[in-house]
Amino acid sequence: MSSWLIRMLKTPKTQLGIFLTLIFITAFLNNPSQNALLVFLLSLLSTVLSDLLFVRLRNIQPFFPSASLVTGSIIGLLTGPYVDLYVPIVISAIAMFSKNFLRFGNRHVFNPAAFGLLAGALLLYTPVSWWAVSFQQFFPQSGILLRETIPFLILLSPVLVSLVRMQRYRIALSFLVAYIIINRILNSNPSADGLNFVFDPTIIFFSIVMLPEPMTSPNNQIKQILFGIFVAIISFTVSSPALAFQFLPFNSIDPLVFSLLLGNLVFFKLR
Amino acid sequence: MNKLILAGIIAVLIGGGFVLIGGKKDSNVPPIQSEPQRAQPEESRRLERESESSVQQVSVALSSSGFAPQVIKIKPGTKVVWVNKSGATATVNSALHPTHLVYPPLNLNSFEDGQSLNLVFDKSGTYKYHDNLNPSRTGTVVVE
Repeated sequence: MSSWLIRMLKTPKTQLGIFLTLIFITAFLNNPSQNALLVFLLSLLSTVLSDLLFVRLRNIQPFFPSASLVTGSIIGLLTGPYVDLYVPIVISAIAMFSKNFLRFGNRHVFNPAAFGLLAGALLLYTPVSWWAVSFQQFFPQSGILLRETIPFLILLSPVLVSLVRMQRYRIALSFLVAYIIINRILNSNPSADGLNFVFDPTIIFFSIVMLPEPMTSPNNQIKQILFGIFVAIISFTVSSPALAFQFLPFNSIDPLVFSLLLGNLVFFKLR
Repeated sequence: MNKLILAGIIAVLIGGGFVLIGGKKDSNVPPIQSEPQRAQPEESRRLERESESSVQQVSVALSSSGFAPQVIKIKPGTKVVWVNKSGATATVNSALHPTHLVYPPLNLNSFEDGQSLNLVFDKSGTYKYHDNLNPSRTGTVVVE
């Protein structure tokens, strides 16, 4: 049993799940809310149970649901802290549905957490919140390191798994560079938050956790760079005044989640 | 097939660039905004009250649970004043999070507890905003 546990703790997904839980803990300490805790726990539980159920329906031998724990953690971090408790359950179930049934060959097409969150925005009118990955600041605005900078460093912890161990740094870096450049060009007031716009915690989290998910992002080095740039451009395109409210079906559609899913779809054949 | 897909991606990127450039031109509205307001001498407060009497003003309070009222309806030329009563630093930023592009004049400075920010809305429309440090706190200004 102990050797199995040690083996599990060494896997990238388990380590990522632990880091995501640490991020939630810092977010919870910053904004203590019983409902937020319940949302996070329900997200974890619902993704695991849904995944096990759908795996059973596909007649596949059950396995330790480390991937669904990661998905559940992401959903718990990005779903609003005050939503009704059925919301994370539905989002998690939809996420696992996409992972198990929206597949081609032996790979699922869409990032499961992103798919579930977008479905939640469209069907349940609960926009993606990013509440748990938005308060961390590299340069603390309150002057309190413990409150903002240390949580920011914890926010960076998934880098050790996704970018270092799994070598997905090209995707994250190409996205971040493209995003910062486009933001500087388009945002008429980029200095409003000082240098913190470069270290926007939402962008950091998105680029190091969601974007480089191995099953739904390219493996080829050049395509990884193209993928990162594509997602950055699309995220600003759908945010532009011309498109944001006129053509999108729901005016709170999240630009990062939408662009990621579009990138998953477009680059699916280019892996 | 892969070349076709790559060509499609490049076309989307170029098209996206044109949309972005077009959006940038449309959004070049000079902001009418103020720095976070702190305690002022009495004389300047009196002068400000006299000048403000000709400008309608609506207040929105930010507490730990969010903006209240969450939706306000105003006439063009009205000044909206956001007052931070949340006990922590907050911001007022335009939709969408985190790109903040839909209405750039709404990308106001961050403000500490007790401070306020304001913006005069001249054009009719619906303007969504949020606190960038806690994007679950959202609000809407409807100008009609």
